[in-house]
Amino acid sequence: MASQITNYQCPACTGPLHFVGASGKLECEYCGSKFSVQEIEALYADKVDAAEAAGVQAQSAEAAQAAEEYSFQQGAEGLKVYSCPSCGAELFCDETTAATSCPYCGNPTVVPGQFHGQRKPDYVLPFKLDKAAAVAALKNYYKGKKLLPRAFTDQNHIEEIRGVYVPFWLFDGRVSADIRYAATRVRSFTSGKYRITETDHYDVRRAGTLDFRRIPADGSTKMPDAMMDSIEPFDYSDLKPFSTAYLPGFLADIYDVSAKDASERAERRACNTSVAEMNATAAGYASCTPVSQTVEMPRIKAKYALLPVWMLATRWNGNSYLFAMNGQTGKLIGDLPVSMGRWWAWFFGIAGPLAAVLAAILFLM
Amino acid sequence: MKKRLFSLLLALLLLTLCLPAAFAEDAAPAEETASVEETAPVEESAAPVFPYVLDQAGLLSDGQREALEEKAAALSEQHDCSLYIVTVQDHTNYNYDVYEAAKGIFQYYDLGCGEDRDGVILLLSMNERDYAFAGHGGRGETICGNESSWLIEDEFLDNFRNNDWYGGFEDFLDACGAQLTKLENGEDIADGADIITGPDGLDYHSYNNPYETRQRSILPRLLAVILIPLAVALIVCSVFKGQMKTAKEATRADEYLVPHSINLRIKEDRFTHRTESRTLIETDSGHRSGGGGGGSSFHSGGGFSGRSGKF
Repeated sequence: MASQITNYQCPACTGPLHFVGASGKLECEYCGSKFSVQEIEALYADKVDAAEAAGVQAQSAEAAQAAEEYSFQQGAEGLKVYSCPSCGAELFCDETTAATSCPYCGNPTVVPGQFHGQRKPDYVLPFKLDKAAAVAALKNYYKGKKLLPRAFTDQNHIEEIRGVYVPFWLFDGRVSADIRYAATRVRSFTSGKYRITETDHYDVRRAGTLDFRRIPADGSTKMPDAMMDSIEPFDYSDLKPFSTAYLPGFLADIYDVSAKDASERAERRACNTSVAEMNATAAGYASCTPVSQTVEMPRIKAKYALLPVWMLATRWNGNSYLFAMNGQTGKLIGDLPVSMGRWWAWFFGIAGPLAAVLAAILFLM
Repeated sequence: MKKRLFSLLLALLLLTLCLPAAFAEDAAPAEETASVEETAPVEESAAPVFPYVLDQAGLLSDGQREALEEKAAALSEQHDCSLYIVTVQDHTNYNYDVYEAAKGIFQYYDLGCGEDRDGVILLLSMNERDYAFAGHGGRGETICGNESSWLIEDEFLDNFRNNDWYGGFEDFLDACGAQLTKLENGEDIADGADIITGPDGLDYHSYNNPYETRQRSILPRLLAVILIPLAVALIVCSVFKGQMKTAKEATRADEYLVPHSINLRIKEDRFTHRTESRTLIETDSGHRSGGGGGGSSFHSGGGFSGRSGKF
């Protein structure tokens, strides 16, 4: 089991470092120093090497402290308890927590041990948008929502805003489809006093393969699937090989939904698209109805990636409202309350004048 | 009675043999048919006594036919205007136009009574559910004129649409009798016909008048004024409501399909068979029509006036 928490500290002033999406660097809040991910990785790799040289076998408390490795104890109900390397406070975290921040001193901390072995992500997509952008996006999201209660915008306050690296499975695969259709072509003409309609019937078959790349499916039970699907797509050209250096300042979870379980969703999506693509190749008919189909994704490969998501929680009238924003593209989604008063106002506001205009046209003209 | 029955059966037999043959020329217009008759004195002399009710399509029971025959005879005698009912399976055996077929039968058998050959003939053709009635002579033409013919048609059409043949024929006879009575009493035969002149300058009856229908159809307009705005408002509000719930689970993976990766291994389009359906084209023969389905046309000229349509 993982047993360490790492605090990425500024080499200049030992202040906590945060990864900043806009610059793509780790920045110190105190002295303003900026370091590239590669620099920090190299720096911490040296520290690890030094610790190894000091002697791995006798990992005393001092050595552990020097390496900023802190003991943990297994907590109750699936919780893990860590000690903050900065202030010593106890941090209660989920089993899946891989990066968090201390609620007392605010220091961002990473639990690299969570990423050991198969749990190490292949990729990470760094945040591009910061907290301010998420708040602005939420306010902008309220605009133009005709049925949003006025009091909601005035009274509701963001209770919590978290930048989360959500574990995603990215699936590659080839769909094999074999579909038969009953299709018709229709021709009409007149002969004498009759209109004759000739219908030619066809047995149509389409079979082939379609390749899909990096269909995402979130691997976290904490995240609503509909929300994670709705903030797609992510721009995969910015994917980086995984490094914990991208995590400081954000929360991160490891997956708790296996690739096998998540693959069902990806496979379903790929098959639906494949059927639609096959249908498109059977064009030119008056009607084309599938009569049998075999669509499957026999071989599917999964890569594990952490993708950036801003989660914003608000509370109004005793109800919680959760919003998610793509930390890379800024696409924000979330369900909003509906004012029935406004609904009826709009309803009659549209129906009334329209009825008056129609009445004028139909009865007076 | 026996004699009368015998002569009736004989007439039926002769008519069955003669009617299709007489009109076998088919598409020949009424005028041509008349000229053929004029140059065929033999047929004129051989023309049998025509029954008032001739049911070639077999719509009536014997009892019903006899009852109608008696009623038609009584009314014809009472008003000096013969009222005939003829049913056939396919009027195109006589004339492509059902109205012309009715006229042709009337002329060929020299139907009607009196000097003017006053009479009205109702023809039903069952294959395509066509009907026509034509009036001849002073009385017949008057009650089948534009002002009055609607009233007669109104009486029987609903019965025929419900396959109530006997009721329809009875109503036809009653309506003709009523109009003839009005005519004899000097009453307005258009009374109740609610004639309105349309924008095209032609007279229309309330039953089939498109203009008057538009004027009188308050209910559909009222429904439109209520329902359309409600529907539009509901759609708009539903769109607004849809904006409030944006999180939806994805069902497709279009964005993750590798471009040009579709490898179509089998692409077969095999013709299996052909089916054919025929629909008779509705023609209005240049006449004014009150709309599809149950619309009817008014005809006038050549000593006849009347209406035709489908039931």
